[in-house]
Amino acid sequence: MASKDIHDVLLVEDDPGDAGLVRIALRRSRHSCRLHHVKDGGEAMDFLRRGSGHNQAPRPDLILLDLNLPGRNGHEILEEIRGDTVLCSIPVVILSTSGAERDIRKAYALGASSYVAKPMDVEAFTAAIHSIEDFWFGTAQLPQ
Amino acid sequence: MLFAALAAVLGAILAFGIWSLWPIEADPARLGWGLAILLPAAVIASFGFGFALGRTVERRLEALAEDRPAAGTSDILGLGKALDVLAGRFDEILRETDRRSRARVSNTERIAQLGSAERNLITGKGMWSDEFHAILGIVPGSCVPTPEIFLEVVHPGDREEVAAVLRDVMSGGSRRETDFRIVRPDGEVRMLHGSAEVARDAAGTPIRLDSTIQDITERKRLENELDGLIRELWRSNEELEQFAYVASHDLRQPLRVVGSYVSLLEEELMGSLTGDSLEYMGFVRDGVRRMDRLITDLLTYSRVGRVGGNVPVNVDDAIRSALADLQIEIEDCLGRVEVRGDLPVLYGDQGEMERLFLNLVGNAIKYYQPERPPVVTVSCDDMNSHWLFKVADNGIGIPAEHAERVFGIFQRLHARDEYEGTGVGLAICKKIVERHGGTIKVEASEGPGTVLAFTWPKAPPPTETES
Repeated sequence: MASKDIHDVLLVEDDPGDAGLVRIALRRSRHSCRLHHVKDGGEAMDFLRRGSGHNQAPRPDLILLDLNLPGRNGHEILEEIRGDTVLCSIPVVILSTSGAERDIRKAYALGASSYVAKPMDVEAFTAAIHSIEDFWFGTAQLPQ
Repeated sequence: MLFAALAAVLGAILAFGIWSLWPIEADPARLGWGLAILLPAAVIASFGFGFALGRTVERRLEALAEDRPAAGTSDILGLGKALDVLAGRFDEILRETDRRSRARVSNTERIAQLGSAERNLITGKGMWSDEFHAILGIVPGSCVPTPEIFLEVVHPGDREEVAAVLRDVMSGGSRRETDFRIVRPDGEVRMLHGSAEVARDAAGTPIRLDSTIQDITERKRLENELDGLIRELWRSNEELEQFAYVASHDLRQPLRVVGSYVSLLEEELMGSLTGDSLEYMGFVRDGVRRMDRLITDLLTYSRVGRVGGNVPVNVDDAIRSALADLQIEIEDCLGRVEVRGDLPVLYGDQGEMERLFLNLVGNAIKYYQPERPPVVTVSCDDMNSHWLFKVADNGIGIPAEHAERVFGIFQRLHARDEYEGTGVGLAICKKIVERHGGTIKVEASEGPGTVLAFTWPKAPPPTETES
């Protein structure tokens, strides 16, 4: 399957530190990725629907969604994406500090593609990001 | 006089009798003289005696009649009068008994704050007890007890409902109870519990409406207060758990960033870091790691009971799982863990039970004396109503003065460089055991080492609606 040369990844993350870690991990990845970073749910929906400030935004191949966001939380954003006939086919991977069962259950119930708890140390974190990329951009088939 | 004449005749007959039986051989002259004297004397004596006796009886009867004016003139012997006296006394006793039992009922009603009323459904006549009046705030005798007056006292907001209940009872319904408010004439609003029931005759026709009212204002107030307190307790408990849960996540987030970037810095500066700066870097990493463990443990602590299941759990499985997790630690210190006796199946949460044994056996392994490889014994005894578990070791022991303290959260007994730990482990154990209805304590032991004993009830605890 000849996939796209460069994958667009939308990262919804309010913590610049964590966003930086994702960026570093992607830079070291063997897949070519373009990282788009938005800081909250409102901006994420603007990006996805090419709203204000994002009218040139590409449709992402993968969304990395944090749960703990200012304003509307990750669960609510996920629900909105899954309820949108255009956006519902985009894989959404939850990337959260929370390993709480109820958060995990809720995410899957709302249609998360997978749930990854952010590992504590940087190597594990990088490895986790790489395995997400490997799976979605290497193993899995994505809608064109 | 009647008695006197009767006595004289009797005397004469008696004298004649004596004379006729007198021995015949006796001297006739002496006999004639004797007879002449004896006969009149006997007659006179008998007459006198009879007269006296008759007078006495008459006087007695008169005296008796004076006590109570004669009702019937035909009552010659005064028997009817005596009966009247008796009947009077009986009436008096009856009235006294009735008065006493009324007073007793009245007292009881007053103490129970329970007023009673009855209404004759045939005559329409009503009767309210003193307490019934008192509860309504009405002076007895100030009004004629009618259902209308009663309903007037009932709070306008509850009046229709109370009237409907009374109608329902009278139209052949069964006994009814209801709580309602009243407004006393002085304006005070009270809460009452009322019940009403209809009494019927043999043919089933309603003859009497019996009702009671009870002042439950104070009870209701206390109930409301208690409800409020329980709700408040639930809320604050929920809030506290929510707080610990959220805080744990939010605290870990920046910590993770610190830790990650320190690692990245180390990587970047690889080779250019020298003695002191390498040591500083080490402290930062160690601090981050410790902080992370504290938060993780706090999170675990706050989670106990949040997901807690209540299903049969095989203790043997729980211990095996805990030992598997501890395998490396046990091997590192050349330790040995023995499990004694048959292990039961308990009701509880599988994960929590594993955590309990993990922490207890983990402690027993961790706090060992360097010269003595740890030997840990896990045992279980049947105490009828509950199981008694003991985890005993040959380690450094817990001084008696700290036996209580060790279960406190973040409570440590050793410097960090002696034994690693956050001081949350036993607090978690305590929370798990107590949540399942058991108790945990450090048992005083003769020898070296520590014995941690905990109980676990046999009956499954009642399932909580909220978990």
